[in-house]
Amino acid sequence: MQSNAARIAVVALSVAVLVVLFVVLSGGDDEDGDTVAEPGTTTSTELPADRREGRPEKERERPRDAGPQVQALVVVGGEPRDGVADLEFGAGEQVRFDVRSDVAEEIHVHGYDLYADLEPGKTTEVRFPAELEGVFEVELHGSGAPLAELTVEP
Amino acid sequence: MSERLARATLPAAVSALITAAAAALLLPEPAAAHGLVGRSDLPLPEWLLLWGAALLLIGSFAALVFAWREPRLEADSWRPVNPTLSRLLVNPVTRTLCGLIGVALLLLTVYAGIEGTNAPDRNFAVVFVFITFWLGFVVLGVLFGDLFRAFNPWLAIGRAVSKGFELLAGQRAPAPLRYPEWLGRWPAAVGLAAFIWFELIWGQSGFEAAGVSPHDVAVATLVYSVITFVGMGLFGVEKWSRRGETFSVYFGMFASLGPLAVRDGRLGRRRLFSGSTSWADQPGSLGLVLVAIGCTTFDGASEGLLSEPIRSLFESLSDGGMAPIEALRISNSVYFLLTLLAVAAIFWAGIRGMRLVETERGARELGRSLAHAFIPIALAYLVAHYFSAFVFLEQAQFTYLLSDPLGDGSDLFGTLGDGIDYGVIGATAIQWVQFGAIVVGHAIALALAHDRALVLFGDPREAAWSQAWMLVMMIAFSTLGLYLLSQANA
Repeated sequence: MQSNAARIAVVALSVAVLVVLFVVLSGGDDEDGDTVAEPGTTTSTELPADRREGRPEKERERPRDAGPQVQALVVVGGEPRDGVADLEFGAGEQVRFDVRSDVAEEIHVHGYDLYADLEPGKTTEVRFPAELEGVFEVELHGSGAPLAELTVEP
Repeated sequence: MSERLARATLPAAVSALITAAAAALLLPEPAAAHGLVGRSDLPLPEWLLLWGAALLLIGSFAALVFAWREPRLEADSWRPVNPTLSRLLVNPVTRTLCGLIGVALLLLTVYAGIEGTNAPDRNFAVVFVFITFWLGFVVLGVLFGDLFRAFNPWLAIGRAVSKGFELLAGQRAPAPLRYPEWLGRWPAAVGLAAFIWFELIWGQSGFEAAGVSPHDVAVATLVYSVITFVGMGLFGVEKWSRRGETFSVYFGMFASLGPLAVRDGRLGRRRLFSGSTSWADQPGSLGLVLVAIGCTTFDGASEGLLSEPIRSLFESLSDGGMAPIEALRISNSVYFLLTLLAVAAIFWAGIRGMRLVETERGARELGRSLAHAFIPIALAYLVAHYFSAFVFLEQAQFTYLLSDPLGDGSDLFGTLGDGIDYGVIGATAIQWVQFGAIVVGHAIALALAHDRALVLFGDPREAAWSQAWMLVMMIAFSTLGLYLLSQANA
């Protein structure tokens, strides 16, 4: 029994090493903070008028100076120019991003089921409260291409 | 379908779009189920992964020390329930009714797939096959016994045809071929891999987010029906339904864990999980469990862990001049095969380890005698991976998809306007369900393996020692399950 216990301990140890390895490996993948919109700092300039229930806003064309924190996505020929963007917000925050397309398009935020029209050459500001948690696809309805992944953390 | 095929046959237009840089942008969204809702789960947080792994490790070894010394699940514990209740639930009328419902749903799936809209999320066929049917009968089977045998449309049709033959010819329909016993459940294991390949690899090969199209689902359903009827015609209706018919065998595997089972037309109760101990009595049973685990592993890994390797293989293939759709299918297929092999390798490594202790039995015999202990792990993987898709898409299934199966605007039951409420369960709750599924599945798997080891080895001490290897293997599977969840969409 003594040697059995020792062998079991060896096995346990090796599994523990494996687990630690897993965790170390998974930790390495998570350093993608630079594309993340800074939560909290953006909300101050947001007007309560934008918080209309369940409809993305698409009014003014000119982006304001609050720009740096709001991600601006560019669509060329129905495809996102810089690849599928990562948009991350906390639950209850205001989702904010701008989209500019060279052709007429429509974006569809899955899950929230929101639509917004993109007019050629103009910037559309998308604003809505992040009420649902999860990872949601933001799709260009015309071309069917994915535009962004909206992550809403609890 | 037509749109995607048109793209496939227009390599010039496609390759113009897909330069090396654009290829990355055009890589489609992952699994069909997620494409259907356009929503996926948040990755499991790291601290939960860490605690989960520690819990599995410490809990498992602690359980080994304090485990019971006599087998508890191996004996046949089936007892008939109250005969009146049994007759009320299991009788020719209910059997016929369930069979008719099954056949009607089969016809509706094919009809909706061919006649209805080709938008996967608005057509009855896709959600019904991949969510309601595929996941629903697993849940029903575990809770209420092998209900799929009652609803199985192919079995119902096969039985009706052979009944008709009996009436006309005055003798039982003969089976021209004897089913080769060595083949066992292998046709079902192959069918399972083919089904998942169709859903995840064929389906996502269109450069669209939505995945497999309703038309493809209808065609695949017809093809599978033909295969099934040929199998039944050659080997006999009952034989084929218990060996080769993928869905009967697959749902039956999970139902063996449940407390309810029908025997000789009588409903009975048995000790929870005990039915699985006599399940792996056929060649190919182990193959089926491992394929089931491997399929879910691939679905999870292709969204996280394997997404980069698949993408880079895809890019090098399409750089080499291959059409993008073929390149995508091939690179996914390669990693699907590798995943199945990796799952099998983990299993065989564990069995090899056990053989260090147990020299009397061959690896094959040991493997088969422990196959059933992996059913709970396969179930845990399914729950962890598809729970949220099931919760959300069943809302669609029973509202607008039922009311408007073709997606043409009809409103049969007045529920067309209702949709999916994504607020019904929060991201944190989903993560706890995923975590709980893996941990509970692991515990049940351990219990089954320990029970079997007591039978195999007789001596509790030797059983426990052989179990150490089993434990390592199961901890590997469960930690992998948690790890995949933590890497999903990362």
